[in-house]
Amino acid sequence: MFSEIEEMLLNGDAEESPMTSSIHENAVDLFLGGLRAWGAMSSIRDRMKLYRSALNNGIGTKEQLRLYNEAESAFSARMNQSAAVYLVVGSGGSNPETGNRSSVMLPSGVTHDSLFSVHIIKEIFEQKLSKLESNQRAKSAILEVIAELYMMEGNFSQSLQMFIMLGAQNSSGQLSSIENMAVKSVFQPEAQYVDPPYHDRYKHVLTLVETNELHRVLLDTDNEGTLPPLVAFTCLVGLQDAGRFIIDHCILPESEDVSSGASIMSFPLDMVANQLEDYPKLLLWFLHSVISFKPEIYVKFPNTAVPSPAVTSLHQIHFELYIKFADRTNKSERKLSEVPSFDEIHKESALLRFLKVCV
Amino acid sequence: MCINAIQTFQNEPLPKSRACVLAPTQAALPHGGIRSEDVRNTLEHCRSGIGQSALNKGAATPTKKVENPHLFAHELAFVIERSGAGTDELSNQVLILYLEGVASLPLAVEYAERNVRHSSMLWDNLVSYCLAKEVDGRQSNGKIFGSLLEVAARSGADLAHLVSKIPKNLSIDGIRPRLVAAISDYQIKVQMHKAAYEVLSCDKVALLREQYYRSRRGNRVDLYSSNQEIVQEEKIERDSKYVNILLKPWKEGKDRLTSKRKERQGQNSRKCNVGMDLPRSLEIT
Repeated sequence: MFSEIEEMLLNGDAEESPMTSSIHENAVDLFLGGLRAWGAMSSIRDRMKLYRSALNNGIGTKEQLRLYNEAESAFSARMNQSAAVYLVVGSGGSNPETGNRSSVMLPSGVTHDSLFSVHIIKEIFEQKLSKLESNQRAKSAILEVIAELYMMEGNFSQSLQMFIMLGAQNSSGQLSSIENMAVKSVFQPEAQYVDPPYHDRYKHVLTLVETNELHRVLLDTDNEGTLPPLVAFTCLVGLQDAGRFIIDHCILPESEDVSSGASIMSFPLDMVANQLEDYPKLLLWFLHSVISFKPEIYVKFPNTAVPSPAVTSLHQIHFELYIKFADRTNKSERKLSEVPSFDEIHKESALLRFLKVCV
Repeated sequence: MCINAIQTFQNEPLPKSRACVLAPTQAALPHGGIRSEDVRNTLEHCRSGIGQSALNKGAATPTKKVENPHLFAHELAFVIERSGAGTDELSNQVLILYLEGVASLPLAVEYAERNVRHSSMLWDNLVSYCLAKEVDGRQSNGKIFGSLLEVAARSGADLAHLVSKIPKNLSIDGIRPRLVAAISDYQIKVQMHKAAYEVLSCDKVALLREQYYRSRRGNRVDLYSSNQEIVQEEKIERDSKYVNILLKPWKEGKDRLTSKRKERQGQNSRKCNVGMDLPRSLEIT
């Protein structure tokens, strides 16, 4: 099945129509749906958990709900696929007896009951990936398939790495728009910014990281020459949700934070900043978000009079970035004789807010 | 540099004046990664149209002509106000930044009110600036001065002084409704002050009454010392006529005072259960 899809993707033009693009996406979705449904029961169960927690945490979208329903129906189909069930007329997912039987037979841990050999399929796809050269769409599809296969094996960190590679693969067209959105959200905070719908199908990666404590995988920058993992992760799940996730788990620089030094479920401030060093717009957006949502690790230090050198050097960089990306167009058309409203008088720029807390 | 400064500071004899202590400490312990002076220089260079790269390379001394008067004006005013030595010149510079850079009379008036040391000088400059703008003819009908009156009234400045500064031949559009609004605002403020004063007076009388009531009951206070034995609650002899207050560790004493207060207010008394739920006012104690 995938060979046909691959052929379809490889033969597609670079500038294809939206209709062709949608057909290709649907074909890949169908293949992925089949792969997931025939995969290990434990992986289907894990996926359901991921989608459910994504929906409960408010990061899930309609796409997540669709995928959850798909996983649920695949799970019940797999639980009921026995000769005895087929012989009972009218038996289905709604039958309470069947439901009880399913809950009793619920597998625990990682199971190896997939309808195909995960190992062999994975090897085939890895070979395909190494042979592919330039077709991004086919490469993305294969990376997603391999990520799914790793998840079926219970190797979540490898699965996340595949998702990161997928994010890096798709970043070429999105990184600039994400960076522009980041700068706009710093200097024009009143506007509402929403991630494009492309990111919806990967929101569960956030819960994958959180539930399996894979935060350190995102800080691993061994692969030189590729995108830093956090940047690729942002390209995958979208700026807003990735930003919220990173800020929520951001802590003081590792050398300074004695209390939670051993915590693997966190992103030390300096390590995140180091990763974003080559992407100044994203770095500015990150530091601005920290100052807005988590000032206690960046500008307010109740336990020490002198902030750490790691933080103070970031202050310097932060200030320079504000100057660099500030809107220099002369927009001030206000006359001195105009008396503004109270809200307008005390409206502060991002730089002024930064100076008030840092200088 | 920091270590040298600390060593110098340690080697010096104990300084007598406060300035001698502050200067090396400030040099040795710069709090925060960015300093006001650096921020000010950078912002001034940006306003004068010199790029960041030129700044870093240590280019020749730039001209101080401001090419982008609106750029970073508010930020620069804040930094100068924060770091400045409080001289007349700097205060005036901040005022000009608010007036020309930010183009905001309310901020300028707020600053003139906030800067206590140079307030009168700043007000004079503010008025003269507005009058000069009127004379220029670019703003006709006294719009700027009218706005100044409105803003000054809003921020609670001395309106009478401002009115006295209006030149005889200056016509200000809509001065009558503005003054009426300012006076009505003032009247509301006065009423609020009166109401607040009355509330505070009532509180004061109630507190004085309570103090008098409490002071009437005590006779003698033994100060607590660390050697003093802690007296148990049961061992305290209760005299119906006199009350001896033994100052015990504060928590215990606080508990005792709380229980005594409750006893006085009748909160500790047991409630009689009459077999039905009664409203609080009808409860039988």
